[in-house]
Amino acid sequence: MSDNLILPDQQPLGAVTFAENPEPRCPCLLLLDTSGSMAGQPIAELNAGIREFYNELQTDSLAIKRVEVALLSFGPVRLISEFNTAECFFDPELKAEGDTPMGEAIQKGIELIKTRKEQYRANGISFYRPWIFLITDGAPTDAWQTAAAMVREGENAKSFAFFAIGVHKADMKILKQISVREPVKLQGLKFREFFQWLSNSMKSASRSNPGDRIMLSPPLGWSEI
Amino acid sequence: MRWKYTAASVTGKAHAGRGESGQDSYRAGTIQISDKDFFIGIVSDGAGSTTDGGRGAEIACRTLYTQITDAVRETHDLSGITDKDVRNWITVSRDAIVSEAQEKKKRLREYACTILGSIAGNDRVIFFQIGDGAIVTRSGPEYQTIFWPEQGEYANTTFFITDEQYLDHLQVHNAESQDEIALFTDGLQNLVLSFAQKKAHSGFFKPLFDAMKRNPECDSGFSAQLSSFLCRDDISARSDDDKTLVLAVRMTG
Repeated sequence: MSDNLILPDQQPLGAVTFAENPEPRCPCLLLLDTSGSMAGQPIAELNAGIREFYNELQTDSLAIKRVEVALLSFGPVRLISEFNTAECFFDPELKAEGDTPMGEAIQKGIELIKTRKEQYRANGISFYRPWIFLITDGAPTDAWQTAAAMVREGENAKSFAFFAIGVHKADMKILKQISVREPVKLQGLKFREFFQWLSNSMKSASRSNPGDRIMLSPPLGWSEI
Repeated sequence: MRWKYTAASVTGKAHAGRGESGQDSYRAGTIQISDKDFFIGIVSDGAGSTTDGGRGAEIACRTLYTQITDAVRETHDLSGITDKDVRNWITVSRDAIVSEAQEKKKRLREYACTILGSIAGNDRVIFFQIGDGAIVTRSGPEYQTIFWPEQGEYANTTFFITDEQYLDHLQVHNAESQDEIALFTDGLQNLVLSFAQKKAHSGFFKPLFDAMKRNPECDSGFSAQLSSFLCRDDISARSDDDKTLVLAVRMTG
């Protein structure tokens, strides 16, 4: 070995600098049913679950910079939070009111994803496939067929992955017609367990490298399977 | 004129943490034919969630390297090497992967890997690439990529030699002589390329090439230090993927 090597431990390579690039983003949209039937304990548990979700993401040094969450509630359709990293958490304090315009919410949500992707592209930010989680305890009170077609189309084009979670008396038959992936029934009001699972899944998705397939861990501990 | 090179490949935390070995592979070397000196460098990154991506990368590097050295020994010159030759080498290497997959009764996609290659003589250089990672050369005071890393729509997607349409994503470039060439896998690309400016980051490449030029022989001690450099905390904090870096400089005299 020659002794005038100039690499690492010695000073000369201390001069190496790195490029600064924006973190790739991992978008997650939550479509939340806030219709009248969610009043009381369900909505309280949902709010608690969302708070915990943000708390979890904030404890992870990569997820906090990469995972972007948007909240859209329906009953009526309302954008609670635009896509933001978990650093910008605010407490949504959802209230149960109104009916269940699920079709409109899904359509608006898909639009939201499309706009966000355009913003990423315009700013040279790379991103992962967006996830949409629909959480409902009822059945749509509006026309949902167009929304269902949009979900199918988006899944086929791999534009996003759409998951439906049914709570309590949710109409699982309609959810099956909307979601290409098998809808999952929440065990009781285990929102916290669900969001714990979701934050873990987002953490691993947000650190996957090219060529990695993102594997969702089975929905254990919160689903009725 | 002669080429000297160094190379290092380290397993990222993402694999090491799961007790897996790295999935990157490379082959690099120089050959002298009468008064001519050639550098050949091949780098490949086996896809993350495959069972045999690392094996695919190994086969690809070995078969490409052998074919290229044979071709250079035969022609003594790079001007006769065409894009068609590159496509043939790639196809032959892919066939080698296909036959191992068949023999082991595994799916071809389990051997998915990217390809980065360069063949440098004294007056010409041929570059080729499938997928992400990049090849960087010096151009005046700046450094530039030959091809921008080709990613799919999402941050965790790219293209592989095992893809059905692999030739559609093969990029080939024939250039005038170069003095400094770097090939690296995607584990390094976020640290050494600026995505907003679509440029290579000179602050990374210049000190490394300068160090190589100052060092009379880039021996195993040099590459060992390059490896520990790639394992440095400030690098692994920003990329937990495997990282492979091959550097070559052309020395005058």
